[in-house]
Amino acid sequence: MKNQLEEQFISMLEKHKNDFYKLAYSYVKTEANALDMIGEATYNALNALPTLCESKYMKTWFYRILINTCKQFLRKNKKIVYASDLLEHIPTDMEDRDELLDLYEAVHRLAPKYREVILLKYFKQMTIDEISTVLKRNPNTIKSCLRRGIAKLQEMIGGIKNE
Amino acid sequence: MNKKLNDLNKLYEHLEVSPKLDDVLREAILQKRNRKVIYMQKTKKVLKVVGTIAASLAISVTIAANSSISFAQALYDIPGVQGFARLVTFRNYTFENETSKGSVNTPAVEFDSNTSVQDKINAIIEEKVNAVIAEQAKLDDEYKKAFLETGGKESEYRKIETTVDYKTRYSDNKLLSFEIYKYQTLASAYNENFYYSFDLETGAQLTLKDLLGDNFAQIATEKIVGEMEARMEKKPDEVYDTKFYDYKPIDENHSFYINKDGNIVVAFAKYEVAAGYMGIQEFVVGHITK
Repeated sequence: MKNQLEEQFISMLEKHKNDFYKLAYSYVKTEANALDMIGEATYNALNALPTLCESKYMKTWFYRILINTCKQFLRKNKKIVYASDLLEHIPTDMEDRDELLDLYEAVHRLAPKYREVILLKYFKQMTIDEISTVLKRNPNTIKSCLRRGIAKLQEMIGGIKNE
Repeated sequence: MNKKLNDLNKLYEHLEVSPKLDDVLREAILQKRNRKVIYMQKTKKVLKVVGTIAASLAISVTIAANSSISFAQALYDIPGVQGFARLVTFRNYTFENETSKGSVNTPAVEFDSNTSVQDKINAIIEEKVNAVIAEQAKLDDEYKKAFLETGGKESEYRKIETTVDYKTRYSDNKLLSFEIYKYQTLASAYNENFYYSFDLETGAQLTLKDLLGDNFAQIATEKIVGEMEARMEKKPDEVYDTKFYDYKPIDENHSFYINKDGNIVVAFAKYEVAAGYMGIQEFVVGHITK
């Protein structure tokens, strides 16, 4: 029974590993950090697996573990500013590459609570409901965070343009 | 603005995933597995580290061979793919008493599709490992007694270190072949290797006769002698006993295993057919038919 759950977890991980990696990457900014997060979250999830009651929520459950691992890492390393190495991991011939990279950088300059929802919504393309489940927060809170985040972003980008 | 933000997903789509991802995942899973075994046994901390290093070394070999397959598959590939039988470390401990010390890695077979076969094989393994340890304790006892009687001092007595471990040789959903071995410092003449091959459908232990047919003795002997001659041609200094069958013919219980390519390999202990320094001698005598 226990092994069955573990095998189920491993095949879930195999199926969605790229999504997990990209999500972690959007939080911690570099390849090396993202790999660390994935490794740590996987190890922790395997240890906590027996406490998971319903295996159909396994994916959401793991998203939550992964996000918490990333946030904990960011809190611990508050004083270190990691420069994103996204440039190296996006093909050079991508359409609108520079424009989008600028926007991505701008999003990363937002306060964590706005940055998080914007990235989950637009970068990761999760629905409000999904975000609310993963972050365990009220959908309305998510929506207002999004609105405010976008407004701040507009201010920031508008400000640059006006100069 | 929303339109532009929506385009951020293009970055998500195009973001290249690190080529190291599979390794990291595999590492995390194995770390967890190793720790589980060791917590169960409450072994010393040092061993935990050694275990992890040993495991990761073994794994890196596999990675090199299979770098293109997914991590999950590679994981199951170490001992075998899903549905296959695999050997896992069941008990891992160290011991030390007045005459000897050492470490023991007892394997157990995991074979979900037929647990009665699994239990049967595990009973055989356990019995063998216990017998090896008991025999070793007796030998060590005699050795110490002899050491003291011939004028050795208790303070100068060096304990013999014994290691009992295992190696998977071949596994698929029908066959499992492995080896349990014992080796020692100071007294390498007492090293022993025990080979086991099982039919996973019946749980029966396979013999050369099962794999090569009624003519097995002749087939194997001819192959072995031929190979000995070929080897002597290449290296004239290394002499083999090409008439070994006169006094110790190949019988049904002769040691053999199946290697990872499905070859049937007959093994002779040190000194049996060649000079001791040449070690264990192995000869391919056939291939399993599927």
